[in-house]
Amino acid sequence: MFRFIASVACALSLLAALPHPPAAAQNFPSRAVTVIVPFAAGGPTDAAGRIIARAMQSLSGEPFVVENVAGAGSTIGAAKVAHTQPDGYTLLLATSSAMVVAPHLYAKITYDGFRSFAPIGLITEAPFILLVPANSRFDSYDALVAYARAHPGQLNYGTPGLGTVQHLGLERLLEASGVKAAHVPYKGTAPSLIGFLGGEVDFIVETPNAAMPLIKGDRARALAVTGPARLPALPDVPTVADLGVKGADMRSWFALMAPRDTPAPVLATLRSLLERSLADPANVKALREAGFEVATMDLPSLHKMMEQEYGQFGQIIKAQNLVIR
Amino acid sequence: MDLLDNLALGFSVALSLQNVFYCFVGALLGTLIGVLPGLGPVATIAMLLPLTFGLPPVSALIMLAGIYYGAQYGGSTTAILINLPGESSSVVTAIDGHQMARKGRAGAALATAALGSFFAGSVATLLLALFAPPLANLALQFGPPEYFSLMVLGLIASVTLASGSVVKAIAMIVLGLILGLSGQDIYTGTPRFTFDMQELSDGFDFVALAMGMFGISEIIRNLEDEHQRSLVAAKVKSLMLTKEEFKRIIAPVLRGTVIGSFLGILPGGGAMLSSFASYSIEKKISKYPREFGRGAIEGVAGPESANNAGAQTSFIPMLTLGIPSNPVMALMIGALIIQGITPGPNVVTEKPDLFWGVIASMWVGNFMLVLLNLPLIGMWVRLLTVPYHVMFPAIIAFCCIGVYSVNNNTFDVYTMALFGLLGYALVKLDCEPAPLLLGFVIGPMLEEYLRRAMLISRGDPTVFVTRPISAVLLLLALAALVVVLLPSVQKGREEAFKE
Repeated sequence: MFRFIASVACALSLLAALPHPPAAAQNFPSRAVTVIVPFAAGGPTDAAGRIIARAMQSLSGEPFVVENVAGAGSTIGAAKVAHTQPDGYTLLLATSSAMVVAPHLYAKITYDGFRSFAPIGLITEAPFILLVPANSRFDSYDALVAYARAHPGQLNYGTPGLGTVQHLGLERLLEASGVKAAHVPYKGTAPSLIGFLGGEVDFIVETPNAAMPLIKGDRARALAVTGPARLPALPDVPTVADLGVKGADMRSWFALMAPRDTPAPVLATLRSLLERSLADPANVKALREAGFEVATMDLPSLHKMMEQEYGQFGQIIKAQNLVIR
Repeated sequence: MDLLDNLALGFSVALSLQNVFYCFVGALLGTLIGVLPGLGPVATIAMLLPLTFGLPPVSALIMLAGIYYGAQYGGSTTAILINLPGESSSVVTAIDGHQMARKGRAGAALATAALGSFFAGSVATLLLALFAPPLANLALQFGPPEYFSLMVLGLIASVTLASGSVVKAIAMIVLGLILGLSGQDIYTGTPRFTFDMQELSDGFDFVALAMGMFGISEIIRNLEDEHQRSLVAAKVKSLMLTKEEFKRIIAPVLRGTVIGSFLGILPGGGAMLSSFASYSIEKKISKYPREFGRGAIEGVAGPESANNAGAQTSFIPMLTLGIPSNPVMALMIGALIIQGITPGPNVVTEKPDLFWGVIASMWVGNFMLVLLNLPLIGMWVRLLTVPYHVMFPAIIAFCCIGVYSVNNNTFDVYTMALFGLLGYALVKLDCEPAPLLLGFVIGPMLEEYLRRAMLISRGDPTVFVTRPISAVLLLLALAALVVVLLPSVQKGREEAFKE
């Protein structure tokens, strides 16, 4: 049924090339669509955004333009989309931090978390990998936890910043493991990796695209994967669930979002464009080379995942008293 | 002779007809766009990045490297001609470079920048080829205590940036530090001096601040006495360096190259400090300290060389670890990722043609830049003869575009306007903007590293003196403090004796 609606919407959008009375949804898109990437140009999120925009552009025939609106932990870009005209011409490349973390973290945020958006679809999802330096004394997660238990508060962990998914996820993992460690925030992923390689912190978590080069280059050792299953590239590295730590999965994901009141036919067109883009092996390959495995999810599952994370992050932020006023 | 083989491989890649062409196009586009006020290397690369998507990886990176050098040189050009530094490293170039331009020596200043950069770039490239992996490991030895001590040294040395009163220079540094406090505290997330404006949660934008303090305030000041200014422009004479000038730049270029090459390796702001460091040193040891701030050619030669050497060696963390040391490198990594190459410790062994091709292309790019720009100098200088009432609206328009393009945010444009007014008021009070800018850049880093060092040491302040590199840097800072204070102490004593 969904596919049928989508294909009808597509057919209609093709018809729209002909002169047509203005009926917003029918001839969508009839002009350039802006995809807001809430990070600076050149980063991994930007790369993914550009691959998706290019794919949707070639399918729809209208330009999909990436605009980088960085700042304030990606909330400026997210707020811009939340408050824009809900006509489908301004979309957000959303990361979990803007959707399910920021609404709890910032008391003064101007959008209502993920409720301000209508999801178009998930693009990619990845677990984190828990890393220690290659010369670390810890060769397993259990050894790390045992040490932390015997020497409370002595270990340091680094993250790309306060309130990032890495920070909150690690806090949850440590709590579930019953230990504490000191948080050392850095200003972004690159400085946190430099600090990690320089031996300033004892462990970090990073996504596979950042972690794999360090593991392959013998700079870091993987102790655990925070997803539901082991990674094909690291078959010997256990998941946290394998290690007996329950409810401490964490992941990084991107999804394409439109403002909440975007008309349903427009959303259907966009969903079909995204779905077809992600089904094209060329785009899957481009995204993989950029470090992202395409992951699709039906809308109810996506909604469920977001709702669950929204609740979990809310809890951690409240428990740790991290709200920023 | 591994090195020779590797370099031969590199040059065979970089000197293919196709890659030389892309290098040339990159340097040309980079210069043309970078010369627009406000469009520094980051904005220029971000803008031209999509051009490289369709190229093979090596060509793309070579073209980007060309754009980078071109944009950087373009930034120095605007700093010299119209006192508009588009990034932190050309702030220093603006001080004496623009004064030279006012005296009709714009051509010489531009030629000095080009030649100094070329020499420094060549040496730093060789250094990179010889020692990249060990240097990367050395850079990792620099932890938070070392960076903190380096920033202390930088801050003390920045007093020498001012040519006038030391008290006013210190006041400006402190004002810069205060402006740098604005934004979210990275350790607690608390917003400081953000006045409930979301746009301020990352603090003031450097480009907006610099363009306002230098560019806009300069325009207001020029409009005061347009008559006088056109007389200055009419005096433009020889475009090339005189024999005496050439002799004067040799030593500063050499020193700048050494300083830049080493500071550039440090990922945490080292490259940015190199031009400031070079300027401070040149001013201290110069035979003509009085000329500094009034158009000393050493004040262009040293920092420009340091800046370019640092730009070159800042590739080291990226090429050997896959970690960007500044926004430009982040863009380069983004370009690599889009090309399907994940930068990391293994790039050297897995893609030797890429690694050595890029290193060789750096040299080719620098050479191209000299070839391209020495003939263009005449054209740039002639720009100064354009009547000012035609030129200043264009400069303002480009400034607005440039500032807007950094974050795609109008807030930054207003910030620039505000700082333009502040800059004008400061000029009227005889306060110089350069120390303020340095305080603004160093302040947040000083705090970040201090607090991280204390966090990791669990509040034990002795880390700053027990770690040898940090202790040496602090001793140097102490020595610099004595040197800075000495002349005023002496002056005070001389005055005391008079009475």
